[in-house]
Amino acid sequence: MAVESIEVRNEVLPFVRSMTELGRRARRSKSTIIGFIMVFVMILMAIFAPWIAPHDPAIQHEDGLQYGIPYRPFENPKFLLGTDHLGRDVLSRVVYGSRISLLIGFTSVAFATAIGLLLGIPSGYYGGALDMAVMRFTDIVMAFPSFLLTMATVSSLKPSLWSLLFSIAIVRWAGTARLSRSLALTLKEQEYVTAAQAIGIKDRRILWKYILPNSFAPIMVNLTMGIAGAILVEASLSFLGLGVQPPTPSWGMMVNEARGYMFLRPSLVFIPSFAIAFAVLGFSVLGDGLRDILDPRLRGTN
Amino acid sequence: MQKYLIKRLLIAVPTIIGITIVAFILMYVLPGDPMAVLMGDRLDQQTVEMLRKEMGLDDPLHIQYFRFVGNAMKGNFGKSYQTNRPVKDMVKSGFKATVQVGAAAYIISIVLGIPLGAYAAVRHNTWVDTGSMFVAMLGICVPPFVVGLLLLYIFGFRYPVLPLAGYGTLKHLILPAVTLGVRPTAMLARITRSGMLEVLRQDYVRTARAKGLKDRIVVGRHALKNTLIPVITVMGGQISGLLSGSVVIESIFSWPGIGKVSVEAIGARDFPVVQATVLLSALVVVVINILVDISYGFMDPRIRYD
Repeated sequence: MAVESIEVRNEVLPFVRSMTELGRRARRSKSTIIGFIMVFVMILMAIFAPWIAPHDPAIQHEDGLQYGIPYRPFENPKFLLGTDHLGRDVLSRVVYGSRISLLIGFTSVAFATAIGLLLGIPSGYYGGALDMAVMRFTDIVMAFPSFLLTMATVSSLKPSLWSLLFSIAIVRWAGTARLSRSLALTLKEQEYVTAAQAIGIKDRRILWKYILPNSFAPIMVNLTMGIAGAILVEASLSFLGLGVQPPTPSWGMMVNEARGYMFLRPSLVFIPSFAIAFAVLGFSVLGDGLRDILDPRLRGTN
Repeated sequence: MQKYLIKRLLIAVPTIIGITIVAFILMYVLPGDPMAVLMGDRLDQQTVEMLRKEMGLDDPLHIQYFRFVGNAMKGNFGKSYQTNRPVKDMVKSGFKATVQVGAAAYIISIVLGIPLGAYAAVRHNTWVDTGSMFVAMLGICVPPFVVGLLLLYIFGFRYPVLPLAGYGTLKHLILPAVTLGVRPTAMLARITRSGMLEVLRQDYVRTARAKGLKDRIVVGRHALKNTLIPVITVMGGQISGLLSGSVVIESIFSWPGIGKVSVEAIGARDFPVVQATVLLSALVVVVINILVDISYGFMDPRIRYD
């Protein structure tokens, strides 16, 4: 079974090699480590929200307002980061808000990446009319200013979490499709792929076992950056009142609700703002770090 | 060059057709009956039927589509349900306001972003580099509405030197333009830096240095020029980003641009306005992309479309 063993070596080795190399380099890249820690903190916060948050985020506390005005941070030990205009605990809302951000970030990008790969990889590998069609399709999607299209889509659907996910993904898949197409274009010229073709392995198997695993690293970078972008979009939509519906706490919505109180209690605007920036920064720094360690041209410059 | 031009223009045709289809479909998936929006409480069956007929809502879809495209080509997008003004006028004044703030933001990003990125590259791995790239990273990651509210708080409330919101004078323009400019400035700085780092390692830069040319001339004349191609790509893409960014920023500063027009139209289910803003923004982006591609062809004769 000589053919089988050559095949196994060719398909698995480059992948394993690149992954171990990646792990080695990641440990030496400062931004990868910092980004990873920030993201990890976010994930822990989202998972353990019920244990971290001191109160239920949706409860309007009877003692949450002082003369009808929200508490400042550190003013009342019961509400560490103060309360909002309805007497809800800001800290608890921020902690729970991480859930929505992460949920939407991860799922919408996973969805967009799946569509992008499904269209992009065959498009690059087979070329021809399929390629032409897929690329024109991405052209159309990418021609629309992304936020405007997301906004129009989300408002055309029934308000729900699914509509939000769908509207973010529908705009984002095109970039991934372009990227995976260009990866497939390069990879299909690689020797291990031509070797696989030469020994008569079926195209579908080549796509699954050769092209896809070897596109993994750049796709991961794209995915990480995409999550940062999706979190930003969710926050902006919720800020305009088009995103998550109350009473689910979302950072963007918190900023929106606090706008009227901005000059009285600026912390109400800036605490959730900080959370959004932290989340987006974490994923972007991680993505940046991953790209640096993956781009061989920049190796040695840092 | 001519062949390249023609090819580039032809490739835009299916895109433009696709855009019109998306904009057309949008009208049909937006929830809420246009009649209900138009008539409000005065909904009676007879008038509704008459109006539907008048607006051609009962014709087959493809006929409606061609009528939509035909009208759009003449610049006719119907009347706003909300204000009963011609959509054309609303969109026109909206674009005018957005172009003002967008152009200001664009100029800010070029004047600040490119030199910042180039300087960071020249001072690679020093605190200047690390510091400016950290600031650039913040500029990309902090949501525009946060930047806007922060500036509003500082310059509109704490040290009230600028108006909180509104439109008309140069003073009104400053805060929205700066807010809108933060992201493109940061992106330009980053892309200029990475392009510059690559160019600075090239042989011709080493040659120029070896000839004893001054650092400023090496960087300004030899290196920067060859960094411009990726920079222009990003600048072209920025137009789309500026249009997206203007949506949130205009609603913070009550700037009467296309973003504010579309947010209000979406809120009021004012379909013709939504349709026109989405369609025209996309067309603007397509045209800009064509111009960017053509400018490549001039700057770098090796680039051809295939």
